[in-house]
Order: sequence, then C-alpha cells, then structure tokens
Amino acid sequence: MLRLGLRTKFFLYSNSLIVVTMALVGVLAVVHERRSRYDEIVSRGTSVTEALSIPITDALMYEELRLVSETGLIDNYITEMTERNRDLVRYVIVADPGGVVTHTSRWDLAGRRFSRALGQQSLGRPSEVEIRTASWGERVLEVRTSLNISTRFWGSLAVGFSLDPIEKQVRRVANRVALVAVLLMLGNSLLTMVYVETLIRPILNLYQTMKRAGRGDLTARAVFRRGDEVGELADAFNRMMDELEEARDQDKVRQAQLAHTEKMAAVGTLAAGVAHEVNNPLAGMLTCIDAIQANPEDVELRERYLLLVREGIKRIEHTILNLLDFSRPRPIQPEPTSINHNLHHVVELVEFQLRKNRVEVKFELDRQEPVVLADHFQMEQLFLNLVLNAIQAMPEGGVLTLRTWVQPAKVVAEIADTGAGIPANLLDRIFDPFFTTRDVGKGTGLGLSVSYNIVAAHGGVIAVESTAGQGSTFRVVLPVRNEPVEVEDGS
Amino acid sequence: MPRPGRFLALAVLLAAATATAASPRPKPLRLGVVNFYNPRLMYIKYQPLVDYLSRQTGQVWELALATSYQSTVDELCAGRLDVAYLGPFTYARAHEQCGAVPVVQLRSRGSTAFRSSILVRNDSAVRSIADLRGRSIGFGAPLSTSSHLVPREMLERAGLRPGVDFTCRYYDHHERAARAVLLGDVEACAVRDLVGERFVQRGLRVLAQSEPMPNFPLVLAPGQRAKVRDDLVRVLVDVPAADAKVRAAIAAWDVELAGGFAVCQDAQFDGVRSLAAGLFGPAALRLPESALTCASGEP
Repeated sequence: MLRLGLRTKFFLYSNSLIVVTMALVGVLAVVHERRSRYDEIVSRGTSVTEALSIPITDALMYEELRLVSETGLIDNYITEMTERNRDLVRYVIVADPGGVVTHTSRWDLAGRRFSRALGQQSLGRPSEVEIRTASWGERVLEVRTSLNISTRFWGSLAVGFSLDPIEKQVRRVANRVALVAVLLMLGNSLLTMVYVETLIRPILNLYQTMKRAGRGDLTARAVFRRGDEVGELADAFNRMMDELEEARDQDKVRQAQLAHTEKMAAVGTLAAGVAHEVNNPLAGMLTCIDAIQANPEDVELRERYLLLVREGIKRIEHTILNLLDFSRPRPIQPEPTSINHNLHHVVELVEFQLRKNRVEVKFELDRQEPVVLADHFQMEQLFLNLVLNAIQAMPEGGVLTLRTWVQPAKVVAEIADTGAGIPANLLDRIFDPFFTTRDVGKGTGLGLSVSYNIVAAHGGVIAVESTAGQGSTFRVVLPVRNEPVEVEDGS
Repeated sequence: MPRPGRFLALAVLLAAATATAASPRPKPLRLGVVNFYNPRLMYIKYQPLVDYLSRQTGQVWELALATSYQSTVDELCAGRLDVAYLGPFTYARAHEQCGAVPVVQLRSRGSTAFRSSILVRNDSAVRSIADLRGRSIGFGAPLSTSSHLVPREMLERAGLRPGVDFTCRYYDHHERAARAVLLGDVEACAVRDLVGERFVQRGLRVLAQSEPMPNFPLVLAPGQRAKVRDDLVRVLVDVPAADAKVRAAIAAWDVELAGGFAVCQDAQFDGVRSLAAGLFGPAALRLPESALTCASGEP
C-alpha cells in the first residue's frame, strides 16, 4: 500500500515535472523555430526574388531592344529557379507594366491580369512581402518586386514560397522535443525504479520495524546504515527504541517495587488480624500451661492440655504460613487460575478485617469456575487490594458482594461495597499512583494503581462505578487466554 | 646492351616532335545552329552534342550560333561554318544556293520525320482549320519549315488565303509564337510537334497536325573534307548503334537530339521542295526571306 503509494507518487511527480518542463521547452522551441524559420523564408524568399529580378529585367530589356531574343530564357530562369528551390518555390509570375502575366510557372495564369502586380508607383520601395492562402489552400509567402533599372519599368515579379517547411520543421522540432521527453521519462522511470528502490526500501524497512515496535516489540531496530536523512531517521528511531527499552526496563523495576511496596502495605494491614489470630491461641495455650503447672501430677489433664497447646501452635503456624505465603517474592508463572478460588482465599486472609468492620460477605460466583491463564499470586494480590479497599470504604459495616461470571472469551469479576462511594470528580484519578483520599500514613495510594497495572499486564480492563452514599463497584474483565502472557513481576 | 643516353635523346626528340605538331592550334570545326531559342538555352541544348563530337572525332568542335536562318545558310555557303543544323526548307535553300549536302538527320523520338502542329488556346471556340477564318495566326520565322512553310500549306489546302482569310504575325521563334497564343496576342500558332506538346501542358490545344516531314539534317558545307562527313556518320550513327553506353549518353540530351541520328540523302527533301514551290512558285528556294511572308504579316 505505502510501497505502491510512494513509488507511484514519485513516478507521477517526476514524470509530471518532465512533461511540464518539456511542454514548456517544446512551446518555446516551437515558437522560436517558427519565428526563425519564418524570418529565414522571408529573407531567402526576398533575396531569391530580387536576385531573379535582375536576369529577367535584362532579358526583357534585350528583348525590347531586339538585341537578344528572350525566347524561352525567362521560362528557363523560372524553371531552373523553381527546380533549385523545389522545397520552397510554389509559383513564379512575371507581369508586364500593365499587370498582364507574361511568364509564369503556372500557365493557367498566362495572359490574365495579375491583380497584385506592382505598378510604376512601386519603384524605389522595398519588395512587398505578404502571407496569403493560395487557390489550392496552401499558405504561401508571396514576395513581389519590380522589374526596373533606375526608373525604367518593365513590370513586376512575384514569387510564392511555401510556408510548409516552417510547419514541417516545427513539427520536427515538436516531435524531437516529444521524443526527448519520452526518452527522459523512460530514463527517469528507470532511474526512479533504481533510486526509489534504494530510497524507499529502507523507508519501508523502517516502516515495518516501526510497526513491530508499535505492536509492542521494543527490540525492533532498523538494521540498515545510510549516510542520508533516511539513515539519520533510522538512527534516531533506533536511539528512541533504545531509550524506550531502557525506560521500559526501569518501569518494570519501578512497577515491581511499587507492587512489592503495596504488598507489604497489605501485609501490614493484615498484621492486625494475624496478631489477633496468633494472640487467641496464645492466650489459650498460656491458660493450658498455667493449668499444667498448677496440676503437675494430673497426667490426664496434662495430656489433654498439651494437645490443646499443640492445636494452638498449629493454628498459629497456619496463620503465619498464610501470611508468609502471600508476602514471599516469587517468580511469575502464568497458569490456569480460578478466580473463584482466588476470591475465597482473599476473604480468608481478611477475615479479621471483615469481622472488625462488621462487613458481611456475599458470594455470587459463577458455578462454571471462571478460569483465566494468569499468575495465581498476582490475581490474589489484585483481589486482595480491591477487597481491602472495599472493607476500608465501609468502616461502619456493610455488605461486600463478590460476583463472577463468564462471557465469551472473557471472565468478569465484580467487587461491590455498600460504602460511601467515590465522588465523581475523583473517579478519573483513582488509578493514578499515590492517589489516596485517606489520611497521611493510612495508605500508600498505590493499591488501585498496582491493580490497574496487573489487569493491564493480563490484557484486561478494570473499571469502577460509584454512586455517592450507595457504594462502589469495581469490575475486572480478563480475557481467557491460552497463550502465556508477559506479566509484570509482581513479587 | 643499350645505353640509357640514347633512349633519353630519343624521348626528348619525340617530345619535341609532338610539341611542334601540336603547337599551331588546329582550327575548330564550327557547327552552325540557328537560334531557335535564346542563346543561353541553345548552349544548354546543343553544347553536349558539340562536346560529344569533339570527344569522339578527336577534333575540336564549337557551336556557332546564328541569328537568322538566312545568315546560317550564308555562313555555311561561305565556308565559315563546317556543318550546319538546318530545317528542311532552309537546307533545300542551302543546297540550291551552294550545293551543301545533308549527312545525317535527327531521329527525334526514333523517327526521322516530324510534324507541324497548329494550336489554339484550350478555351478557344476554334474547332477546325476552317474555323481560323478571320483570325490571327502566329508563325515563327518565314524560313521555318514547321512553323511557317508546312502550316501555310495546311491553311492553303483548307482554302484560307493569307492576309485575306487570316492575318499573320511572325515571332521568329516557335516558343514565342506559342506564348503569343497563351497571352492572347494571336488566336492560333503553328509550331513543330515537340514545341506544341510542351504548350499543350501549358494550356494550348492541338487543332491540326501536318503530314510527316523529313527531320532536321546536319548539313556539310560545300567543299568540306570527306573525313568530316565520315566522322559524323561514324560518331553519330555507327558508334551509338554499337555502343549502348553512348546511346544512353545521347538519350540524356535535349529531347530533340535524344533520339540520335540517321544517315540521310538529299532526295528525302524533294517533298519539301515541291511543297515550297506549290506555295511560293518555282523560285521559292531563291526568294528572299521577306518575299515569303504573308501579304499583311508583320515581321
């Protein structure tokens, strides 16, 4: 498309330039040729006519004096002159002082009156030159001169010269110009073919590379080297791609750091619950230990209480392992992940916060077990962020609704709260990093930003609907993908 | 063994002898021709013939242009011309005057005969010789065979009397007579066939043609050496007959001469003699030129 377009444009442009230039040259050449040929015919015609007038005058004079018979001489002059100038001379007319044709190359005129014959009054004037259309339709230049010696007048001579050679020559010139134009265009087309190839190929190359870059391949680089502007463009593009790649790498690190920070913040949030989970068994265990110490001899009591202590330790271990499991950095691994399972696990993690805020959880999960190809732990972090966000939006209690459903090639998850809602003027900014409405020290402002990045990295979309006083609903739409995705290292 | 000195002496002697022999420039042979045309055209038409004669005979020939028929005859009879190219009537008068004899005659377009043509303008109402009654007729010179003698006989035979039934004008030359018709000076003209054909292309129409007449002879001056006569026959008749190249060269000459020549005898011109006698009386061959014109004709 572009290839054809550029080449066609180049062809059209350069060949149009040639056509316009050659047309201009042609017009100028034709005008010049016509004028100079015309001048040439006028000058040749005048000199031929005036030269011919001399022997004709002599012949007429000798004839008149009966010195030498003219018999056939003037005809001979006319014939010879006509033949020697066959290309030009169309007719010769000799008229006597009364204007009657006496000698001519056109015998049909012999004895007739020649209306354009010069009279005695023409003596001393230069030869007359006139362009006229002959009876047979040809345009001729007629030169008329008087046959005289001093003021002695023997008549006049008119010679018609064809103007055809002008048109012929003009046509020849025009043809030549056209030929040159065609040759130039052919040459230009050949040259363009070669030049455009060498010029356009790199551009196309660059274009393809840019398209690859546009699809997200930051390793795309223009591979040719040229000394011209295209080369500079390629170099600039390569530099830009280098910088983009570097920025992407830095961004990756930054994203990872952000995600980790947020995770740790979540861990902090969970810590209260963990402390509670650990504290309750610890209190029980302490009571057991106290009872054992108070009744050292009671074997049956000791055995029963040690079992209780063991059970408490197991409970603590479970809680700690859960937290550790969540906070431990781990490599990204896309795998079929059940969104329903993720949501259940997240609710388990935030049980303390739910209880504390008197939040009731409602599951409205799709029984089809929505599964996406994603990193399990990143999904967990995503939903944890959203659930914590919802709990924090309902400090006075409320209902947390978790919904999932399957659409063609998509899985949708909704986390809805019945909290205060988000003011409409802030909706645009809630996914920005470090944006928070909470007091300083009570949030990182990274939760939704990290959530946004995780969803984006999985090719999904996150959106929020909120009504002030009624609560907010976060909707995550994830594609059901089979091929592995490049996901950010969420640690 | 011959000595080189002897050869040298011999060579010098031979060279000297040749030089002495060549030193008095031989008198060129003069071919007299009446000015049928303007002198310039005469040279254009006849110089090739003279050049050919010089080349073929090894003697220098030159063209001698005369201003009138009678002066050509006078010059020939006086021996100032060696050979003359004459019309049949003029020849008969030269023979009568000094016994000049014909050697060869023209074979214009392959024929030793020619005809006279009477022409009128294309747009003329004249359809027959009889229609010329009351009209003006242009002739060449009074001594011209084809442009005066023969047409006068044609007119007479048609019952037209000169000066009474038609007026005569003399133009000296065939071409001028024909042109006079074109220009409207006269209503008809009489010229030889070849000239007439040229003017047919220029707007004239052939009204009538004569019986064939013996073509123009080359006439030898009385007392001229037999060698000249033999030379003429050899180079104008024998050589062309044997040599195609020469024939081709001659064919490129003026149309009058291009057909070459044939040997001829005086007796072939008896018809012309009787024709002249019929028109002008038994003394026709001796009458002065002025006595041959129409009564009312202007020379």
